[in-house]
Amino acid sequence: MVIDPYLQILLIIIAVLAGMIILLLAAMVMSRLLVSLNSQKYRLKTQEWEDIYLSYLYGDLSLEEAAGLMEGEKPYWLWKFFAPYLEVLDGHDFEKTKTLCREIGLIHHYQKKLHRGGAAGKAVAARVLGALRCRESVSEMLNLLHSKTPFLVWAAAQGLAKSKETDPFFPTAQALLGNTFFTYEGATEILAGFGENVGPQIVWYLEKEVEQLPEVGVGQNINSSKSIVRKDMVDPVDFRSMMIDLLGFFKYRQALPLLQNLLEKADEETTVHILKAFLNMGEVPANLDLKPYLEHRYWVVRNFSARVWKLTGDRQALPVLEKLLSDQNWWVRFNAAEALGSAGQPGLEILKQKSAGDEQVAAAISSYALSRSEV
Amino acid sequence: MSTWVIILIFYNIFVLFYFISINGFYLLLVLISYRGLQGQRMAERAADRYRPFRSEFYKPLTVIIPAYNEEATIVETAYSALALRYPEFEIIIVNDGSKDHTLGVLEEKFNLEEYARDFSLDISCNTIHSIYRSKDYPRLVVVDKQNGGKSDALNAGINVSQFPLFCNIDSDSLIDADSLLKVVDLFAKDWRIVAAGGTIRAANHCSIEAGNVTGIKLSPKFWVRFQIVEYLRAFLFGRIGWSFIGGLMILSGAFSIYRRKAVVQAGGYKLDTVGEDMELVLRIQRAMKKANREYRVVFISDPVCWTQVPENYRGLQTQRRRWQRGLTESLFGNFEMCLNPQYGATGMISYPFFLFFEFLGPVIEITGYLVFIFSVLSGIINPPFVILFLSAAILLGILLSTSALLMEELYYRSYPRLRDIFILFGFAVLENLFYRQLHAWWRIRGLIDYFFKKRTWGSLERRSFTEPLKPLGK
Amino acid sequence: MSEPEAKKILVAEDDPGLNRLISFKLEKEGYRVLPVFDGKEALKTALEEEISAIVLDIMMPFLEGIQVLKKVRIAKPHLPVIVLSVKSREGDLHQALELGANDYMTKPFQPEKLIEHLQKIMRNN
Repeated sequence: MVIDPYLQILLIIIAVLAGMIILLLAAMVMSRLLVSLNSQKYRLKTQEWEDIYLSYLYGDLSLEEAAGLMEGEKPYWLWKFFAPYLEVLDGHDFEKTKTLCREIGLIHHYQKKLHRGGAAGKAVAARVLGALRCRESVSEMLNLLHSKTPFLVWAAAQGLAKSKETDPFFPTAQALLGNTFFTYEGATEILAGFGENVGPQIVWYLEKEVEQLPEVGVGQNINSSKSIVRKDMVDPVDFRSMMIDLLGFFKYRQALPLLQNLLEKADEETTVHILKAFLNMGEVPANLDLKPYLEHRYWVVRNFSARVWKLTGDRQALPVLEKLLSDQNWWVRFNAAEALGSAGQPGLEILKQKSAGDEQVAAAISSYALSRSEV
Repeated sequence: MSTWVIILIFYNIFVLFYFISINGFYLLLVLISYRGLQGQRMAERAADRYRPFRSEFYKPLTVIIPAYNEEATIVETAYSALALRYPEFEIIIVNDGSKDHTLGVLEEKFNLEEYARDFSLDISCNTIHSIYRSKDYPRLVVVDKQNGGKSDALNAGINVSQFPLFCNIDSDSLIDADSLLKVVDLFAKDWRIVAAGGTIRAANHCSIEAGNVTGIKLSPKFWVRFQIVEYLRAFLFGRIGWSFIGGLMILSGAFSIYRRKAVVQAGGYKLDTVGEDMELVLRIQRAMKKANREYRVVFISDPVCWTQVPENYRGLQTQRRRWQRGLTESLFGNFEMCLNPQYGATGMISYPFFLFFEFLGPVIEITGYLVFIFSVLSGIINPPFVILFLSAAILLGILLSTSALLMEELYYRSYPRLRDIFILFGFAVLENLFYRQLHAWWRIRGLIDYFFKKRTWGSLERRSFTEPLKPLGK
Repeated sequence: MSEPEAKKILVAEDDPGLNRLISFKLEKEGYRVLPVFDGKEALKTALEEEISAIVLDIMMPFLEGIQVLKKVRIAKPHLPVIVLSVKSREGDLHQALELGANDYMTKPFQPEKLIEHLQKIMRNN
């Protein structure tokens, strides 16, 4: 029987399609079986390792004995096992754990990955080596900051922050802002991982700013190729703001006098961040006069000043807060009302007056604040 | 040969190529989504699981839940929202003039009291009667307003909320506890993002406790099983693919997150449309373009929103007719984006794709079937050839659905029993032999609705989340 | 004269690895350990069992450490409690101390220091 060549082609296509479908089904079944086998194995292994590791940590097993029992295992599984301990331990116990990881070849494995792996491998390696605080890997991770792939820049930044080394701090900050699409909140979160040990560096940088030497630190092209994603240079005001945010996060109260100095020369954006820092620290410099900021032309400054006011309790500013109840911006009215609500009798008096008054806008926000203070 | 015969033959060929291209394109999307998921997995492996849970690193967010006659499901939804883990957020349930006991049920369960909440009317909306807050759960706010439709309710919610981000959740949806963290993380890592959407999965017959899905089960219902396969193919892997190439046009109204400023700039949700989520996404893109701002609309597959999908023929038909109407309204309303290179992949690829394959698609399909049957019966076309061709097209469709099932197995493994996969495969096969054709018919009726009549949502019999079915009025 | 063998310590920490770490060390020191992994269990065990001290993590599922502390202090005002938390959550620590926690430890930490502090507050009791 002679079959039309077109039909032949079609039959082949059909056979191929049917075959692929069956293949996919088989892949699904295999995948499920493999995964359940693997997870069982993983559970058993980690139970085993827990006993070995804890015995080693508390002196019942020597390093050689423990390493002998744990080496040769899947590096990623080992990493997953050790990760929570590395996160939570400090000092002597951390060092012991790190030594064990080195002895079983984990560090070496990930150093190789960092050097020669694909994007995924490098990213995990940066994570692992950062958690293990491997000083030797810092320079390699610094190189990664110049990568054209924002994903790798992020991974390197995270690893460097975790490593708690202080030298990479500024390059990491610049890279996050210049080589990725990160928002400031996102970048600040990663940089916060460096810990308050970078406080002195930030203070040094801001002191230079106060002395108006803008070329310091910021302003250099990180990467002169086209991969700059936001601007040619990292915006100095934004960078400065991020540094101030970090001081606030670390509650680095030693910087309060510096911040007060900076406040006198600051532009709008910087002012906002300094006020935010005061809020985070829960403290303001002595003799801080908030009135000019409560009456500032930029609503965000007015907003944060109202919030900061709660830390000062300066009675002299109450009339200004009262004026703010009629402010154009909702958040300013809201925070001014909240501030008055926390100001004891005089504040509540003002709110009660305003809530019964003719001015609708002030009345509305005052009633709202009063009802909130009743909670 | 007479001209009629030639036309018929060509039309048959045209329809067959249509099937091959639509299935082929979706198959491409699924393959692309494989790359997209690889990227997500990379990011997960390298991410820090022990990040400090600090509010200054996460923008505060409002969860807006519009509700109309939802007394059966609103409480579970509220619990689900309250269980969300996020440093600073607020929940605003907008009662859009419900005729049933939605407000009453909320008042009772959550100990509501009226309070004087000030807000600014950034987008016009119908009268807000009163605003309540829960004495037991300070994060919960209920807005009672004059009926105005879902868009109007959402706009009211946006007005009352003041946080920079908001998340729109349907009143019959449940969200996993860590969903907000995962989504906002994306916003923090990329300042260009103005809107993001998450995965929708069918919650039917899954076990639910205190607003959380605790046990995933494959629903025994016939119509639900089709939808599960469909959702995996189109709403999960399809969208990951679209998002990867930068052409994402639709976010599910059941779970989507926006930057408030961008939405206000775009004018809020449009009132006289049933496809308000897609419409908004398109309009935001146009607003951003006008303001000369770089923007991204993304899809994240990890946070899951669980929703009750229609379990019977009528409910499903009503829903699909409505979706087709909404699609048509959105496509026609934002036509300047079509084939406009300014809008990148969305304008050059997605828009024409949706116009041809999703809008026009059902017309081509149904007329195609009719012409095909006629041609075979009148002996115009050579049966073996066409039958084989048809088989190839159908097998391609089955291959597409199966690849979606494989991806589901590789990345999520949601359904616990091995035989669930085979059941779903069976439905993937059936889908191409029966459901698809039915679906095309429903969508044609949707088009007829658009061009000739209907303007309302239709009523959907809503199943309560917790079994057994709660009696109404309780 | 207290004999360590008799004393039961409640270790409330949701990370199983960390919980085991602390429990292991305590057992080596001769204590009996009751490990729990969420706030509800922590509260239940604290109220029902005869325990000599609690190691309490602040962030736990179902019921937060602060809530557990509040309720335990009402029933057992003199029970030594040492609170564990992440360094950045200063507010939680202050709150815990005000509610009557005897001491605190921030992560990352050294388990032996934790045990030292624990023994101190148990002695002072």
